[in-house]
This record gives sequence, structure tokens and C-alpha cells, in this order.
Amino acid sequence: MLHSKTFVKKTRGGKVNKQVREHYLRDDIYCGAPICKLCDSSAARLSPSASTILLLDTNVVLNQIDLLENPAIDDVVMLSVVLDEVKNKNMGVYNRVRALCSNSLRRFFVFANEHHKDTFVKEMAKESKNDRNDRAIRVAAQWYQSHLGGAARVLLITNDKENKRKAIAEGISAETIESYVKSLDRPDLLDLVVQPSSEDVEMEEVEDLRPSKRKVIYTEHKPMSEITSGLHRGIYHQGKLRVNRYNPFEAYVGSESIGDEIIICGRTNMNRAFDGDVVAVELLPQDQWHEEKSLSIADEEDEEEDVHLVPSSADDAPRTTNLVQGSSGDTNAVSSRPSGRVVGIIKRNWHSYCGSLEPMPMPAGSGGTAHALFVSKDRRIPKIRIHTRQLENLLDKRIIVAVDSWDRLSRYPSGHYVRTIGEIGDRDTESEVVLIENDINSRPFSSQVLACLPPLPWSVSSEDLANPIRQDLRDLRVFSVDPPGCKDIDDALHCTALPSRNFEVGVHIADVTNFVHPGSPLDDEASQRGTSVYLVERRIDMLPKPLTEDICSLRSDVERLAFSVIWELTPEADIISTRYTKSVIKSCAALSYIEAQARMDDSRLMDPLTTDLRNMNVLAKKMRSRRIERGALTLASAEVKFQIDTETHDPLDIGMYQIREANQMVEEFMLAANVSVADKILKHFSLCSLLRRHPSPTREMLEPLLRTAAAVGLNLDVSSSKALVESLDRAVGDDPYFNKLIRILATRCMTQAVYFCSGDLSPPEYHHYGLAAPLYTHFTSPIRRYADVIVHRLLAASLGIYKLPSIFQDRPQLTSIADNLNYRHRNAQMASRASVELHTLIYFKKRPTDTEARVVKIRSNGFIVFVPKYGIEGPVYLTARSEKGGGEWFVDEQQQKIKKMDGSASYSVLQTVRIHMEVVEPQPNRPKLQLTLT
Amino acid sequence: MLSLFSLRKETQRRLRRKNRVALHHWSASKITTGSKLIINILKGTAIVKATICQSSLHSFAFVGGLLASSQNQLEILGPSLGRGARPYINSKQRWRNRIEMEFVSPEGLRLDGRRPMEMRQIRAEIGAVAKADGSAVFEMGNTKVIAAVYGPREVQNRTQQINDQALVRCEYSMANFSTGDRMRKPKGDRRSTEISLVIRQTMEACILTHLMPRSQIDIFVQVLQADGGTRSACINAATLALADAGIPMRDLVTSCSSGYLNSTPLLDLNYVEDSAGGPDVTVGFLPKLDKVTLLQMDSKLPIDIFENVMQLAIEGCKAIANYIREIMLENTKQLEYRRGI
Repeated sequence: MLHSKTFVKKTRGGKVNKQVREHYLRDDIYCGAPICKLCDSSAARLSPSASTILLLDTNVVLNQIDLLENPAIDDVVMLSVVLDEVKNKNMGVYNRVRALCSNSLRRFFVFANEHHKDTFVKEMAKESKNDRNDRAIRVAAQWYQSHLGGAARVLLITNDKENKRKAIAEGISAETIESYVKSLDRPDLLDLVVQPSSEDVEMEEVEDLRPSKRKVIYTEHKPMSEITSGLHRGIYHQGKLRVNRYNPFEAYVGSESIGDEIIICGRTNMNRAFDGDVVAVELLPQDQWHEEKSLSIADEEDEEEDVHLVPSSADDAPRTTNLVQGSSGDTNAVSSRPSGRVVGIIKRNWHSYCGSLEPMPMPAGSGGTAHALFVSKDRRIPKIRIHTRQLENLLDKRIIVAVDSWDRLSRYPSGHYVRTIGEIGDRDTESEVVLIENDINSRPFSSQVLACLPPLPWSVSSEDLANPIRQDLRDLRVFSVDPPGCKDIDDALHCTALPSRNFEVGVHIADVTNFVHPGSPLDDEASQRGTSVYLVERRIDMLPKPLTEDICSLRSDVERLAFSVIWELTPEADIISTRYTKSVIKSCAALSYIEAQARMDDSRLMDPLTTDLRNMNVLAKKMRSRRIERGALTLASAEVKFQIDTETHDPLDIGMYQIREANQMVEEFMLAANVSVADKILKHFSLCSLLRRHPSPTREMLEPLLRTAAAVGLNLDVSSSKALVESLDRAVGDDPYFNKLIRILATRCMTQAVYFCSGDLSPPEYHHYGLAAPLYTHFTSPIRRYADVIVHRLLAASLGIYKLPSIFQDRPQLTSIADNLNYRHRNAQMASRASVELHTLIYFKKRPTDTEARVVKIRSNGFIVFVPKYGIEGPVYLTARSEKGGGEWFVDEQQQKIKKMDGSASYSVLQTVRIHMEVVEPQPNRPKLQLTLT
Repeated sequence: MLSLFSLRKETQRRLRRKNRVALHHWSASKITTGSKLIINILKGTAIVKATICQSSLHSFAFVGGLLASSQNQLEILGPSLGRGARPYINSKQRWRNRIEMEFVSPEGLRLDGRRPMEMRQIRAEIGAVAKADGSAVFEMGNTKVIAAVYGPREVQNRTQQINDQALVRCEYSMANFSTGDRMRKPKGDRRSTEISLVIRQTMEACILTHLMPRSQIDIFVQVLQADGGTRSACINAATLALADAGIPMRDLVTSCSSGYLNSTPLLDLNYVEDSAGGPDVTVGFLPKLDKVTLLQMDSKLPIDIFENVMQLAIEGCKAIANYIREIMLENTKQLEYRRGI
């Protein structure tokens, strides 16, 4: 079957050198059509009744991927030459095409024409690579035509004029994508067709609606060769463009060659770059560098700051550029940060975006098609111009739009409609938007994944009990403490007083790895999802429901498998010994935090469970105080809790999440278990453990906190976490909420903790700043976090229970898992926040409220307040937006104060103000929460 | 004190001049090439990006390319934490990209059109060097090696003579033109010495050396064209040449390599697949005796996968043994024909 033929192929790398590769041509590559009588049809993917088989040209695949993903396009033959070209040009599109080809519901067949003996074409003299590939496509089309005889029509779809002409001349039926879609008679599909921007057009001339604006708005991007040489000579700097989340007209490029961030101000300087693009930047002359004034809240015409949830860490917080004051006090001498402008885009980061169309009147009689502006939910993305035939349908919908091109003559990029999500303002639609924006997979689990589950109903079997690695701990008084209504109980505790006056304390964690085996579809899916996502009204599980809520969940009065960490503790809560074992437990009670707290507080109760709880609480308090002594931060967050109407799912009430002693008790033992496990796994696997670290904040990051503190006359010592803890403790103002407010401000200056692979960093970098622990990992929630699943496997391997799966030997892969976990974790948090914001809006829609708020930041035209009761933050404008820069108000930078010119009113930072909260709809269908002074 | 900015300017200016500075004090363990360091310059402390390189005698820091003349004494205070290590991540990503390269398409075809279990085209020819006692050319795809065997003959260097068995010597070399672009180093480099040793040991294991005491057998193998799997090709060529020379052997030792890329075991890696950096198992095998005489691997593999990969290589060895037998049979027929039998 090996029909081989060797010949040479020349490729050119960076240098001109001849390379010789073997290239085998085969006779066992089949056409994929079940109707074919010559070929082996066991692997055929095309439908047996297909009347037309489509062959696509590269340009069609590259530009029309959204259309291809629509189920209306089917029975497609993908040539390997096309796939190769797509892969070289755009990896994102390639991955999407590959997904289509492997999707069993779609009929996409990959034909390896480059290795088929009849369809391989050799490059001819003076023929360019492109022409050769076009010829290969035509040859393959011709082969299909003659191979299938008349059984099916083979249609070559190409938007390349020349290719189409040649194809027709060679007797192949060929069409452009647009004419093909038109022939399908599906007007909705036409919106998905991307309008070609370059000269290979073959569609009717798109008339320009705005002739007056036909002038150059952006400077031309430099050609790639110039950029490369510029980068070499140090004139240009390369980096990823990150747009300020709160001010889309400002972006940063982290440049390695400069070692600092370059600020890019305004769309003109950004020169059509999107957030996430890798760009080349040229520094502006120093006299044009961005002068740092306290930025006003809203910068340009239609952009303004929204009310949002309080950021929980520096990563979420709005970026403010801090002017580092020179110690001499001479502010003029200290230069501001370098500013630059984008000269070229090295790699685009375009994908599809969620949002809605800007309201506009229906254009009269433009033949059904209209140009509309799309506004993304993500403020960092500019408006996108799209061309649609179903404007009236889309106006009040949330839609997804993909970007195609950005001409330097047009103010906005142009894109095309991809699909509709639902009505604007509808809770389900908006939740869906939240999920899509954060790249969260909320699809039901596939059948392959579900096939990995053990048969239901499941119970502990005699084999599990007989297994020597599993210790029988069913006689222990184990209980769990969780939030009320919690169904995925992944941790349980026990505490036994020993005769030696010591205590045996155990943390029992659901033994998820007993059911999730490495390499199984279930494991792959879980590692992709990374974490469960908790929205206000629903939960998106990482593992299928039977595992999450039943088999793994350590519910009361049923036997469950667990992975236990058992310590012997002295009454002073010093750890004498630590033991790790797989176990079988039987929880005697699943308490909520409230119940546990009530039991501990009720002095009449003397039953054994309550005694255990009290003992544990005493131990936990000691551990906690020791931890704080070491410098662990007790930071405050402004987490809120909704009460949801069970019928309508509308929020009924909203309040700060209350933290009780019971919460702290459970948290303390979980921390201890995590630390013990981190120690253990690192000892055995020093290079491939998955740990969690929290980098120390730099002084720069703490600058906003220090400035605010200085303004209220507070001196914080941030030299170490211990010093910060002590000065935070001392920061007691005249009102009770002051300390908490300072803590909230401190929290938001910190970055988030991240997962990492221990081999990637040196041991001093493992440090967890917030917990003041040299080592930390996640072990205690394997049902809802994949990191814990990995740590369970590591721990099991370190005990010699299982072999270490092969993935741990591949450091790059482990690192990519850690990166994915960080990404998913962050997205999950963003999604939860967005969901809370959404419900806050729904809540206030019917209830305009007056409440107390605190000023947290001063801006030139107003200030930003924090509403403690609802955990939200938003701008209060002092000057109306129309009279911008009225000059009536004056900002005192040093004192963090905003004063009226005549001195009649002033607001300073951390001051309490009364505000009125109300949902307004400045534009139809776009409600937002407005804060005004009362 | 130099402010951060003017330092940067300074660095940029120096960058154009390209000079370098020896470090006085350095705690090498924590510092890797390209890491970001806190460096003491004159009296001020600043964080600059430094590239570290080590020559045999001195350690040098290239700060943003280079820094400082001899007056600007540098002292590394330690690696800077936090925002550091960016270049490192980049190199890691580059590595990952290489790992994620598609060596086997989802359709099950390798880059050169073979399926995972398929070998390259093999071709062998006996008697390429007339002067030698036995010789052969062996090709596996674009890898082409020539082997010449002299002996058994008198031992040239009497001190090396072994009284109860034959002395087997092997010399492996690569022709300067074998890789096309680069000139190889002269013979005797570590790689050739190692491969020479490997081939010698493999051949020694199958030659019945005790039948030829106080004699010497020389095996010369040279790579004419290299495209991965030279080691295996050399062993196969040497086997054929030994057989051609009529040296008594236990069995025909054959060799084949296999690898593991994209979670698929691949038979007979070519140069592109070999340079992916994945595991590469080379097996030497005695097909009649069903014994492995050579087993080498680069990189690492879990043991159960390794067994599969090794089994695949053994299958390859068996196929090659069949082919070699055919060639020899044909050669014998030719000899018969020439003698007019």
C-alpha cells in the first residue's frame, strides 16, 4: 500500500538554503463520499444524498469562517493545501476549521490532496507559490468531478477572480461565495458574508454612503520589513497593546526594550490597533509626552464611566497612571511616562464581540441593506460598522459581530454579523452575554464525557472498603460546614480529643480523582473548563451534575470516598504530625455556617458535635492569630449577596455578605490543609507541583492607597506585609466603617494570586503574600476547581497510591495548564461580578434608592463613590457633561479634594455623602444606574 | 542618583556602542540568561534588564545589550522579582509552539505523507567499495550511508591484540556534504565518537568474535546524506557489509528508530520529526534470536508508552531484516549467475 515516490522540494527559511524533503504520494487516500464506488467509504464524512459538493478556496475559508460555521453550509471538502495555507496565515481560523472538520454533526471532509497521487501538482517554472496552490485546488476539483462522475455536482467556491476564470475555462463549475449564498435563498446568511476589502472583489460595487468622509483618518501601517528593521535598530518597540478598561482612548504597550509601559493616547495614535494586538510602537518626542493630570471621569464625547461592582483586586481596578512624585518635590523635572504611537500591527487579536447596534432610524429604501454601527459590551473595543439586511430585527437584540478589516479611510473598523443572542435587557440574554464575553463554556456535557461517569445510583462498594489504600474512617464524627443551600460539598471536618490532651483534626476532601481519570474525556473537559462558575441565578459546573451533587458531594448520612489530611494538634494548635490518606467517611451532619454558628453560640447545647465545633473554633482562632502575627493580611471585600425570587429569578434583596466565626474556622482548617499538602507535594515533586503564589505588590501599585491615606492624614507602612497589617490595624478613624474602607482600598491594590508550576520559578518566588505563607496550593475544592484535581493526583502519587500521570513530566504542558487555570479562574470571577452587576441593575430598576456612600477617588469633573451597602462603585458628576470643563470646580491634588471656586462646597476623599441611585435609560434599551447627589 | 529614565537613555546610547563589562560579584544560581536584575550602578540602584552570558573565564552582563565602561562597576544585587522573567516566558512559549506543531494531521498523515506506522522507502546495495572485503550502501529515505568492512586481518597495533577473540573497530563519520548547508566539524567530535562506540558494541554483540582470535575487523561507516535515523542506517549498512565480507555472525542485527509526537508513536523518524525534540528510541535487534542488542532514547517517556514505542521500533527492525535477507538472497543469486552455476 506504500506507493512512494521521492522527489525534492525546496523551501526557503530566513536564509536562502535548499532543503530536501521526502514527499510520499499515496493511492489510499479516499474521496470521502459514500456514493463513491471506487473508494473505501468507511471514513466517509459527506452525506450520501449530497447533490452538491463544495470545494473552498483559501480566501473563502480565511474570510468567511463565520459563514462556514453556519449549519446551512455543509458537504464541504477541505483540501489539505487550503488548510496549510490557512494555518500559515491565521492560526485562529485554522483551529476553527479543524473543529468543524472533527465535528461529527457537520459534514466536512479533509482531502489530503497534497499526498494523493493524482492530485499532487509540481511547481512549474516561474510559477508563484500562490498560483501553484490555486492550480492544486483546481486539479483537485477536476479530480473530484471526474472521480464522482455525474453522481454529484462539484462546485468550486472562490472569491479570486483569476482562479474562477481559469476554473471555468478548465470546465470546473465555480462560483463566488456571495452568488452561492444567494442561490441558497437564505437572506439571513447573506449578513454573514464578509464584504471583500481587497481587489479580488467580484461582487457588486458597495456604494459608499459617506463620500464626504472619504479622507485619510489614520496613518498607514509601516510594511513588515520596515518594522523588523526598526525593531532591530531600537526605533520601534514591540509589545501587546492593552486598552484601559475604563477609558478606551488610552492604551498601554508593555515594552521589553524600554522596560516600561508606553502610553498610547487617543484613537489616532492607536492607529487601528485593537486590545490584545501585538504592535510596533514609535516613541513620540518627549515634549509631546502625556501630561499627567488627574483624568476626568469621562474623556470623550459618548464614552462615560458606568456604575460597576467594586473591584476586588488590582487586576480588576481601573488603571490610573500614577505620577511618581520626585522626592525633591520638583514636579516639573520628573518626566511623565513615555508616550508613543502605533506604527504597525504585528499580530491581530481580532475575534468576535458581543454587543448591540447603535440605535438609528431605519434608512428609507436602500434595498433592504443598511450600514449600522455596532457597540460592543466590552468598552475597549471601538464601534464596528456592519452591513445588514435585517436591521429591524437586530436593533433591539444582543448580537455577535466579527471584525474583518479596518481601512485607514474609515473611522470605524468594518465587520459582519455572526449571530443573535436575544433581546436586550432580557435576563437570560444578558446572562448569556456575560458567559460569552468571559469565554465560559456553558454547553451541556457531551455524551463521551457523560459516559465516563460511574453507573447511578452509586454507593461505596465493598471493593472500595477492601482496598488497602483506603482507610475506613466511617466511625469518626465527621461533619461539613458550608453556605446554606450548598449542594457541591467538597470538604468535611472532624475533631477528636485525644487522651494526651491533644486533638486529632481531620480535613476530608471529596475524592474526585477516584472518578476523574487522567486522559479521559471527562478529565479533558474539566481541565478545559478549569473551574465552576457561580452566577447569581445559576451555577455552571466543571464536572457533570451527578458527580458534583451526588457521587462526590460529602452529603450527610451517606458513605462517601474522601482524601483526608489528618493532623495531631496540641491545645496550642501546633502541628505535631500530619498524615494523608484516602478514606471512606460518613458525614453525620451537613451544617450551614449559620447553623454551626448558632450551635457554638448556644451555651445550653453540650452534644458531642457542638463540643467538636467549639474545640475546633478555639484551635482555629489560635491558628488564625498566629497567621496574622506572621503578616497575613485580613483584607476586606465588598461582596454582596442576593436574595432571589424562586419563581421569577428576580433579585428581592441585596446585602453585604456576612462573615461569621464559623466561616473563619472552616477557612482556617482549609488553609492549613492546603499548606500541608503544598509542603508534601513539593517535597516529592519539586519540579512539577502545581502551587499558588501571590506576588508582593510593588510600591507603585500601592501608590493610590498611600495617596488616599496621606490625604486623610494616615501614614501606612507598606514595606512588608507584616508592616502593612500593623498599620492597617492602627488605621482606626472616628467612624466604624473607616477601617474596613481602608482595607477595601488596600485589597484592590493587590494583584491576584496565580497558579504556577513549581519548576518555572525559584523557591523565593513561591511566596504567598496575602497569606504570608512560603508555600500554598489548592487542595480543598476538587469538585469546583481543576487545580485541586491536579493537586490530588500529585498527593496520591507522592503517597505511592497511583503513578504520576505522564502529563506531569511535560513541563511546558503543565505550565499551559496552569495558565489556562488562571485564565479560567479570572474569567469566572469576572463573570460572577458581571452577573452581580446585572442583577444590581434589575434590582434598582424598580427601587430608586437614597443611600450613604463614600468618596474614594477625586476626578476633575466629579468623584467616584463607593456604596458600602450594595458593594458598588460609580461616578458622581459635579459638572454636567454638556458644560465640560466649566471651571467651576477646582481639584486639589495633594489633599485629594474637589472644591467649588467660590468655596461654597468641597468634597474630599473618604468623605461620606448622601446619594440617590436610580436606573435611567438615556437611550432606549440601554438602562444604566445613575448616581446623583441628594 | 541616576533616575530610572536617564539610565535608560544611557543604556540605549551604550547599546549602540557594544561594549561589555565583567561582573565583580555574582550569585549565579538564581540568574539565568535574560533575567531581569537589580544592578548597582555607581551609587544609585536601578532595575534594568540585563542579559547574562557566561564565558569560560568571566561572567558578563549585557545590560539592555551592554553597559558601561570599566569605571561603571556593576554589582548584581539579586534577581528582580515581580515583573521579571518576561523573556523567559517568551522562550518557553517558543518551545511550546514547537511542541504543538502538527506532526501527524488528524487524517493520520505525517508531514511527508507517511502514516504513523510506515517506514521510509529503504534501498540497499551490496558491494559498493571494490577494495574492501565487504561493503554496502543503505538508504532509508533521504538518509544514505556507505559501510566498508576490512578483515578479519592481522591486528595492526599489537598491543590491542586479544588472544581469545577478534578485535572489532568501528569508525563513523559524516561526509562534509551530508547535511547540505553546514560544514561538519572534523572527525573525532563527541557525537561521532559516541556513535562509533554504539555501532561497535552492537556489531560486536552479533559477530562470533571467538572464532577469529588475534585478528581485527574494521568497520567504516560514512553518512553520505543525512535526514534523520543515521545511527540505524549505519547499523543496517554495517550488517550488510559484514555479511558481504563473510564474517560469521549470530544473526543479522538490524536497527530502526521510533518516536512519540502528538501522542502518536511514529516509526522511523526523519530529520524534521527528529529535531522536534520529542522522544527518539533507537533499537538494535536480532530478529532470529528475538533479542534487543541496542536501546537508546533521547528525552523521556512514561514507561507504558515507552513499551509501545519500543515495540514499534522492533517491528521496524523485523521489516528491515526481511528486506536485508531479500537483498542478500538476490546478491547470492547474482554471484551464482556470475560463476555460471
